Amino acid sequence: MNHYNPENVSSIIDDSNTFISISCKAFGELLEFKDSLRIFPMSLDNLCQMFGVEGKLTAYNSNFSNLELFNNPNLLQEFINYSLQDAKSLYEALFIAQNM
Amino acid sequence: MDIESVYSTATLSLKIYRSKFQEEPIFILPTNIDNLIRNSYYGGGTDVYKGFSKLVYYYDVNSLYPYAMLNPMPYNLIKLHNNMENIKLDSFFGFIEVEVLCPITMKRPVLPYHLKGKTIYPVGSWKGVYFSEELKAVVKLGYQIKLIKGYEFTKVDLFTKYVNTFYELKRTSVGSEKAIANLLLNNLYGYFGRKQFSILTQIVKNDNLKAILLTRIVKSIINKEYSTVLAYSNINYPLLSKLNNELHNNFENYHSPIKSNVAIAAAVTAYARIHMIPFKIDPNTLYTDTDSSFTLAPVDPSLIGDQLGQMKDEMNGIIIQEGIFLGHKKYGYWYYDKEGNRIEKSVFAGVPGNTLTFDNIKDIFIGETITKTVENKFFKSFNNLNIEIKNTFITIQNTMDNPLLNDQYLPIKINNGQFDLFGSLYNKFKNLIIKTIKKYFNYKYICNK
Repeated sequence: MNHYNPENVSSIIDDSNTFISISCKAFGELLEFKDSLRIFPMSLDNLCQMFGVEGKLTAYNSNFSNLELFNNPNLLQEFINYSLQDAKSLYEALFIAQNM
Repeated sequence: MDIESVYSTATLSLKIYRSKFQEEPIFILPTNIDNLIRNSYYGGGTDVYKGFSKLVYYYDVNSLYPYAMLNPMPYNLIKLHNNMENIKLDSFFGFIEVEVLCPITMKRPVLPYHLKGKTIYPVGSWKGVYFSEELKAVVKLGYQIKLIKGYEFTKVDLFTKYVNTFYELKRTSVGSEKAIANLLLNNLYGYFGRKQFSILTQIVKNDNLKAILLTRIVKSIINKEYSTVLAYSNINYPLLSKLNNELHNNFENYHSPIKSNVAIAAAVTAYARIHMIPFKIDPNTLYTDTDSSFTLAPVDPSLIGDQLGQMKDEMNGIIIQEGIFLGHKKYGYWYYDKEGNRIEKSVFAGVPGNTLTFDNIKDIFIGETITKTVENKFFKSFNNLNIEIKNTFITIQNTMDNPLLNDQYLPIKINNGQFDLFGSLYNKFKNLIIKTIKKYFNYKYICNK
């Protein structure tokens, strides 16, 4: 949180208050977050199934969204594994879509 | 096409359309025209005509909206008619402000109207803006239309090549290719219905807040050490120019061009509703939702097929044994599959599909409230910019969008665009009686008749 200036963060929201994108200037780069659900409106599991790639390995644990997570090394590691698989499977699905 | 460069399926569809299929430029309507025509932009119609039935057929239209896109689209705004006295509806193409009179004897009205944030299909009288082709369709049913003001457009075929290409791909492919073809088919028209603004959020130091507030139309501000400002992206450009001239200033508009054309989107959805009219007014129809129909009688076989706009038998020859229709996107049914197993299905807005049993649906139908656990529900707050994900309970009950009288549909009555006062009191009384009867006396009476 100390690595960027809050004034460098901006976002675009649609008329139903859903994020379209969040942009952040950090480390000399412009990072842009987009919601893959807007491009392929289906769950990540369904998306992975559709493109034949490995999807989620575990279900989302609602404790992941609690800041206490950082005081629980096991849960933190579980969260890291979950997030890595999430990003990997989305990337692989989009990669296949891109090359169709 | 670079997926990284798009924000949504609609944008992806548009990019593909523009790069491979578009032959005519599409205009962006001036804001005042956009605002007016937007009043005619309604979605698909959903109505419950009967709450409970046995032996039900279930159909839907193959790609209803893409099929609607094959029709002539409003293209170039050629004339604004302030006086429509000498103009016949039959020879007019575009959007018209009208006075509508729908006879109170109409059993299943089909022309939508926005009232108090809801879309209703009323009988009675009101003023509205509609696509000319939808008015021509409802006049044949007995609606009386007085033309007030018209926005005349030229006609053009914009989408036939695009739709036919991706429908053929969808029809003949499987897996991801079929799914992508389907997404591209269904998401293009929605792009044109986008509002001409989006909301930009900007985090600013409180010292700099004043400058932002002077130059933006602000939707909301969240004040902490820094302020988070949610501002409309496309403020009135002529007004801003005038302000700059008056104040000798140089305020800049955060203009983020949104290439929408609501006339096209409104025409597509109107054509889709027109296609559904015969199914809605069929007395055998129990429930319709945008492109689907539950009915007591099988559809004429000549209407069934795999071509665009034809009906598809969703049950593949199987007849639903019992169906309960509670309201918009709230229903359940069961049937025996080909192996003789009892299969139950449920659709209930806000509840994951097929997680309610048919007994649950029956309980809701007779007025009970049931609770269900929903895992990992997102709670998003724009007040404190917090997102919480937790397991929660939801209560499910039938809120009765348009209650049935003795299990039969009664249209909402309005006068001059407002709820009929006597009718409202009568309806409230009627609902109370129905709820009491259902809850305490005779569910079996309704289910067994």
